[in-house]
Amino acid sequence: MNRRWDELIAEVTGQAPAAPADVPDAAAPDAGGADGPDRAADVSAGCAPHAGTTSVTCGAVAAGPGAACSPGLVAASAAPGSPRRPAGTAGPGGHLTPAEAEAVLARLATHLVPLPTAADTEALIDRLRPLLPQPAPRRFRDFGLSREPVALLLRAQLQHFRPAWWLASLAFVLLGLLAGPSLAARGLSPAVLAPPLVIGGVLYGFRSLRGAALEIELSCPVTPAQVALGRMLVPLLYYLVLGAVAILPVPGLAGALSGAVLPGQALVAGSTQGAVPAPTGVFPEPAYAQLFLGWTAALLLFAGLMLTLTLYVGTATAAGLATVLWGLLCALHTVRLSPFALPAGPRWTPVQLALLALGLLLLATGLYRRRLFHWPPGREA
Amino acid sequence: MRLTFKDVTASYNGRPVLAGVSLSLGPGLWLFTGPNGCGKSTLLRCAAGILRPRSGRVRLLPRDAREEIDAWDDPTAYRWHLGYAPQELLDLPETTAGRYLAYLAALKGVRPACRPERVAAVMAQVSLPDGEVPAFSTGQRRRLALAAALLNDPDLLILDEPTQGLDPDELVRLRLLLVELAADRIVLVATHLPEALSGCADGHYTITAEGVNRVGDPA
Repeated sequence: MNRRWDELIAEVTGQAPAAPADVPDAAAPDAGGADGPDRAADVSAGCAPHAGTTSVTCGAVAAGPGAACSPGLVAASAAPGSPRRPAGTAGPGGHLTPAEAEAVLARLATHLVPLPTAADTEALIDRLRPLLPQPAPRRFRDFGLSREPVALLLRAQLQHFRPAWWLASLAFVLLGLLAGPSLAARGLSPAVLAPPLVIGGVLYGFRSLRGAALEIELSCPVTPAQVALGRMLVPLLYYLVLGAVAILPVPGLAGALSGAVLPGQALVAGSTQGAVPAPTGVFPEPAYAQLFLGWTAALLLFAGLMLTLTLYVGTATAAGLATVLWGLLCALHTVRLSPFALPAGPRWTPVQLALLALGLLLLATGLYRRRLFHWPPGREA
Repeated sequence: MRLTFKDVTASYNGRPVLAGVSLSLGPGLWLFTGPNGCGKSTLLRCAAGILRPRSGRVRLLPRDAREEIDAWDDPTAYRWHLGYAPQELLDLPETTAGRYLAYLAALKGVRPACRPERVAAVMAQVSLPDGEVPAFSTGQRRRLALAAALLNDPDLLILDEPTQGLDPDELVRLRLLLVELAADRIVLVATHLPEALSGCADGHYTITAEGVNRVGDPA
């Protein structure tokens, strides 16, 4: 340990340590001085780097375990008021005399620096932190995006349908059904009104899907078929509800309109009696169901047609083709082959069910899984 | 983060405009200029997955990702990182900017709880007032398209002629915004006014019949 003291003094004075013959080599295996029984009184023996500080703590008895000193100070105060010994040499046997040690400790005591508190350390860290490499700022996409189910995306399509459209559709259905008796007189069911309603609804829903808006939607992580499905479903479901309300007997509504003949009632009466009826108040329930079946079949058939055609030839062309088909089917009524005829005969219901199935098939064709959840091959540049 | 064009060949109206284009672009602002019909928009549409090249590949390595995403092999994943503002002006019937952006936010996967805040943020980012879109000026429509492209905070931002119709003040704001955005994403801009943005661009390419050439580092 004496050797270490010498090395410390040499280190701070910049001189090579002497190696006096009388100083035992602390590094030697047989050197026992440093760990001898007089260690506590040995001023030089207790000096060791203090963990966590840059100072050297002197473990001498007089200084106490908390005393700190710097190597330079030790060197400078090694012999105050006494002839300075050459560096690397201590008192007899490599020890400071008590007077020297006292002088050193007195000098050291004037240079004691209070240990930094936890608050000091924190303040230092805070001041240093800006100098450290900063992590990348958190971006919105790290927390603000989610891969929602398609069903939730469909709700967003509602905002394309303004209040005026909801009201206009309602007005169309009501006006059409007010004209129901004259339709019934010609043998036509309300289903004849469904195709123009669907065509108009799809045209309205798809009106903004063109130009830049279309390109922007194509750059979204939603397939075109999903967008088309959403826009198609809104009018389709609305028209189904409108048809149900207008055609089917609504509990309470009949009472509220007691004495009045609802359009659906007139049509049912027409279908069962073959003429515009006088209000009787009682109609066979299957006739309501048949009228609603005809309405639903016409809606689904033309919705499927519009969707499938839209995906292949565009909305405008699809609307044109669908309108032509509606005209043809209406024309077939003159030869009693129209699917829009009032319920009559044993083949009426199977025909309507077949049209319903065809509509579902067309919808499924337009929205089959591969197309719904995958992107089409794309237009080649 | 890297966008790679590999031997991309494409046509415009049946006329070949891009022949074997190969580029590799990292984060930064990249300008594409050239005469009308040279293929700027075609190149950007290929990068946006709107047009499929006749041959070649467009791949994106997003931030914090290990594997590249091919624009046509996995188009949904590719679009997850994409923001695109086309050259054509937005023509939207009877809707407001806020409503339109909220709708697009849903399509782009912005969480419902975040949508109002995100829409307000991108509108503020491009200095866009809320209002009926049909009454918007050309510059406002441009900024609406830019806001739409920013909704999902994309890694790849593609802007086709974003400077058209902008007044000088808006140009300055756009320039500052693009510089900010290009710090940590890939921003591709096709423009007829390279001087408005070239000073802050990381690279400037011209597209000619001979191909796509880098015209030097304007920064």
